[in-house]
Amino acid sequence: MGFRRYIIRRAIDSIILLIITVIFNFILFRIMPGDPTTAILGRAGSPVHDPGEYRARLVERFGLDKAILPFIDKDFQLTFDLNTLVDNQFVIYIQKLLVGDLGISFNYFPQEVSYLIFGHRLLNTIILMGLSIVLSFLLAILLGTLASSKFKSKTDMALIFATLTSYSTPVFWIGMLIVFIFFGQLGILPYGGSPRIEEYPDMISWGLDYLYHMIGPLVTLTISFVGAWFLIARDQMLGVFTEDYITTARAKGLPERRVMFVHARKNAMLPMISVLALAMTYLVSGATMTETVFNWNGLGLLTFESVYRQDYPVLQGLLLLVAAVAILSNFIADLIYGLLDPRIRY
Amino acid sequence: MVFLTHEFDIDVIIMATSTQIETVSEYLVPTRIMRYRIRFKRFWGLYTDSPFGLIGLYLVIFFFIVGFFPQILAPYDPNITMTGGRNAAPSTSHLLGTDRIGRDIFSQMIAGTQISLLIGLTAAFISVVIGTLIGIVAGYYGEFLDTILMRLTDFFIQLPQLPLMLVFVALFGPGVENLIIIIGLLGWTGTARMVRAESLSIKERAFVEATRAVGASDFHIISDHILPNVLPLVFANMILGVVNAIISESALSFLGFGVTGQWSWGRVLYEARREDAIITGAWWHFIPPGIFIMLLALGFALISFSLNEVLNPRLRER
Repeated sequence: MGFRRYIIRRAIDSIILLIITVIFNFILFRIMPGDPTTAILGRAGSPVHDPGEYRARLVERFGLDKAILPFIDKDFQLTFDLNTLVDNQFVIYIQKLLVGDLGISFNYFPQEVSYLIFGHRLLNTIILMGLSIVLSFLLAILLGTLASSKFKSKTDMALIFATLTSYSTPVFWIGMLIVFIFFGQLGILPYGGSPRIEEYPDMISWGLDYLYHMIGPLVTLTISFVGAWFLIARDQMLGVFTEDYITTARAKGLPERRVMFVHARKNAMLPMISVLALAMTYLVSGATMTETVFNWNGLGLLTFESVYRQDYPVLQGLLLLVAAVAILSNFIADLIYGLLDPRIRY
Repeated sequence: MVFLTHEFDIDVIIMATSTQIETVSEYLVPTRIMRYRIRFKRFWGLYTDSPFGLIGLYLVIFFFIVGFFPQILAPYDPNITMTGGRNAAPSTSHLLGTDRIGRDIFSQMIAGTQISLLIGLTAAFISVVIGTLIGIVAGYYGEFLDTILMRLTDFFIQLPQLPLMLVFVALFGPGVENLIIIIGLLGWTGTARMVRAESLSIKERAFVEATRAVGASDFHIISDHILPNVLPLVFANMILGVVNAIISESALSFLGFGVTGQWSWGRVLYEARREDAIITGAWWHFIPPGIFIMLLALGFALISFSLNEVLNPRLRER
């Protein structure tokens, strides 16, 4: 199968997955017992001042009084009303989705979900996650190369033990320790938060304070990512070492450093691409735990808030975004794979 | 017909490579128990090759003992306000101090061991059962089913676990049972991939072909030949699943969406956060639970690492 056919097949697969995700996302939030609007509106302390008005707006916007799917009415009963074929909630949902309308938040009432997600929160998360992913990726490869070159030595064993420990430690607890030591005891790091540009006189002072606030979450995330990726990098390097071309390179009398870094690492990097593709999803899903501990105002914190307040529209939007990015990054990873390794065609 | 089964296949290899070869040759036909013993000795030799496996085993055994006898080990009822004072630092009467309402934290930790172990083991078991089923069906039947199931697996691998768990918790509510189901239902992907790859290679081997040639059914081939051969790897995967489940439990409970009625280590951390232990400097409230989670998870991770060194065919060749 040629490269073009391989890519087309992958693209079709991705599109099918995306459609399934949208359907899944639609159904998941509608199999909830009862009317989706009552859960929040009936609660004491609800941020919605006029439940009646809000409900009317929701019902009108999303056609909540209409059938859910063709031939299935709003109480999940079978009907044979032909009108439901086009006039149902799913069609409305898709129409709204295509113009980027994700609904209104329960918690931040008149605000749109799309406004909540695609704003400074998304930016905060992308900056934090992007930096920590890049940092951890480089660190994991470096340590993995080091450990595999000294297979079963003391360095190797110590590195394995250290990363297994970091893998086994809850990331939020590392964050708590960092806050406790560097804020509580030493007082050299801030407690948390993510500075907003509006509160600062100029870009530079904002940028510096932003970076200063980012140290804590960045270190926390890096520790946890390296713990997860180091073993993969080491494994890949070890696998490459048994290949014939490494023996050839050594037999040619090349210095060991060159064999390691040029011949071995290049080939061991291929599977690491899928690791990176997996990490792309974190770019938008954020690290809920770390963001919560450090009060970093990103999508992870928004996820936490929305679960806490049962803000279903926001959760639905977040889930859709994450799934879409997951599918896209998987497709891109396959594309890069296909380009780099001509053997991969299926 | 006996010679066509995989057991024969493996035993020949074991006997040829085993250091126990003299003992074996004294008997012309090794008994079943002997074969298992030889196999176990060989496995144990490889497993204890690095100290990691043993350290992990000791850690896990330690927590199992703690988890089985909470009533004996816990000095107080974890829910009762003590007279020792509120927010008291560790002392001889309260080994890990008390929280803001004056409850004994050490007793909470002991009580939590059971729940953390229970959730970790059962959730990992559910994941492994689902993963093995999907992996075998995809690998053995192949073709169309394989494509669909593997696309699904790829997709679930891509989705970040924690936000997905949070969404499910938001929809179905907290509690130990829900937590087990949610964590279990989302952790099957790794096992499915691995089992599929293994069953793909096993079904092409000569002994499976021979069994099929004499008219064995698909069910027989799966249950008698493929399953026994993937089980060791499945087991190693399950141990790794326990690590993930324990950490997921602590994360969800820490956020306040997990264990609420009973005690778990995650819940102790949740209470510590609610009482601002970090700011008030009550280190005894949040440092011990983290260390407990870390040690238990590390125990399982070390076992999994050592098992992988023994069982992973790619690593074994070196």
